[in-house]
Amino acid sequence: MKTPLLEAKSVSKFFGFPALLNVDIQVNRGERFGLIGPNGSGKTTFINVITGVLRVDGGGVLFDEKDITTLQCYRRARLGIARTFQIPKPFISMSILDNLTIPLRYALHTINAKSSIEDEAMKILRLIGIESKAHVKPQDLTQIEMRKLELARALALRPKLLLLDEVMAGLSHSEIDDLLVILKDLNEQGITILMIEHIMRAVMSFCERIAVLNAGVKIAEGNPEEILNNKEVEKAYLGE
Amino acid sequence: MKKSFYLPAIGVIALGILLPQFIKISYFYFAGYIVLQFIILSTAWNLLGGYTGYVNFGVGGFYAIGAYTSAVLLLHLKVNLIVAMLAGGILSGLLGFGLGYLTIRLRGIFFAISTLAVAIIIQMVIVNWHFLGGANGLYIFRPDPIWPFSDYLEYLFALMLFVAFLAVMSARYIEKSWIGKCFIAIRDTEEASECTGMPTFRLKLFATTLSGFMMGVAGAPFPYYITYLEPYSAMDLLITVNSLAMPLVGGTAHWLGPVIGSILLGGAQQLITVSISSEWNLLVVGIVLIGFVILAPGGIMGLIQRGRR
Repeated sequence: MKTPLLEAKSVSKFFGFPALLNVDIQVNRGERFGLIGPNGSGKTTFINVITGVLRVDGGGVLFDEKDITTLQCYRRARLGIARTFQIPKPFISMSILDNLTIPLRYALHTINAKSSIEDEAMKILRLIGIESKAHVKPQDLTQIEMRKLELARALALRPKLLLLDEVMAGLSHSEIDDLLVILKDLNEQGITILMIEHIMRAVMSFCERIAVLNAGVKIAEGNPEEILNNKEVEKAYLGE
Repeated sequence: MKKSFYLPAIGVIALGILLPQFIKISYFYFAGYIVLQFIILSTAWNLLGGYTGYVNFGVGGFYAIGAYTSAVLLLHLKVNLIVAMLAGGILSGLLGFGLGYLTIRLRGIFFAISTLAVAIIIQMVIVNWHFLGGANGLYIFRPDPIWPFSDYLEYLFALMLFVAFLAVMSARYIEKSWIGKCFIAIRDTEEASECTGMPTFRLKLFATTLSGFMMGVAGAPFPYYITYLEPYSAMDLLITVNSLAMPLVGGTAHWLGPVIGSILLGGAQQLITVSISSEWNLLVVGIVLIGFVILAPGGIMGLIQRGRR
């Protein structure tokens, strides 16, 4: 029996227009969930609402069976909700290593020795494949490395739920495959993943279940095959 | 940490007591007090402006709250100056705490503008409040010198020297601690800081409150220094301009930056006041500031660190 890790119940958010309207999304423990939709359909807004960057205007959010609808953003992060940003937002005046030690420090809760925090940070950098850049600053990274840093920093929070906002954008074919292997591995270790992605090849092969947003409304949900054959989805992407 | 604090602390106290036994030129303490005052103010400004990136244009308001709180307490309750300094600091810290709440919605330039507005409101209140002397000001007489000082000004100088030391030491401690790292993370990207588990709002409240407290403490001895307190000298534009120009000149990324900036810019101002004219002060600050912003955005500490690499 699958139990839900994240439940968005009838979530609405208005910016003068409905950015999200009564969206119900449930992500189960250990699941690989995809969220797709055309530009401006509310995908990033959904992530902002889940992480607490924005408050909902209607509905509620449950995480790990707790109501987190009004919980502050940093507390949600400490509960195990980590995210990447679509436009990378690294701590620009710190080394790559320090970009990770800060979230690690807050995720571990206990004040561990500095060395053990740095060891763990290095372990994550090695996993993502940017350990050679540990002591440089973010401005010396390439776009791809910057995206990997986003992922590494999110992992440093030791998340239960990982929200990936277009983490594959700009990556080459083989880099996407490499990243998918890493993500599958993380998923097998028990991290639930919610992926926003425009690269269909990645979403379709990676996700077990997919929801489609269009103009703030959920128009479809199902396994990749069902989504591919859904007429509504085709219309949203290609027009009539 | 302990050893690196107590030894210099004793050294600073000894210096404050011994210096007046050897240097008997009153002007030295008159000018030195101002430089020390700006070390405190610019260190306080840098805690918020340099580390977290929230620019405070209302330094004069915080300073005036410190100065007027202490003036009232000294005149009416005849308290000890140190008590008055703490009271001035606490009141000013409370204002800082309130300012911290503004950061929920106001970022960047909007925060800066609102701090300016706060300073103007404070000035308006002081000018129109009869109890505080209004536009006429208040006269405060210095008490008798305290042993081993032969002049009260020398005591003020020694006191400011120690307070400046405490301010710089706390800035240094914060800079090296996790709090300092979080401040810088907030300056870099507040959204990502919050999303990686930092309580950004609480951290900002801490920065605004401590910064306000220090500014209030820096203003509190001013009534005894100037002996005549009125709203325009207590809220001189130069106070605000200096408090942000000095860290920028010295370097905002390092705790030594505001110290270097204050000594150089503050010292130069005192020299210009005596040798050329007091009107030239502001012009010099302006020119130096523009020069540094264009040529050395990292300030003097930035140049030194770049030189080392």
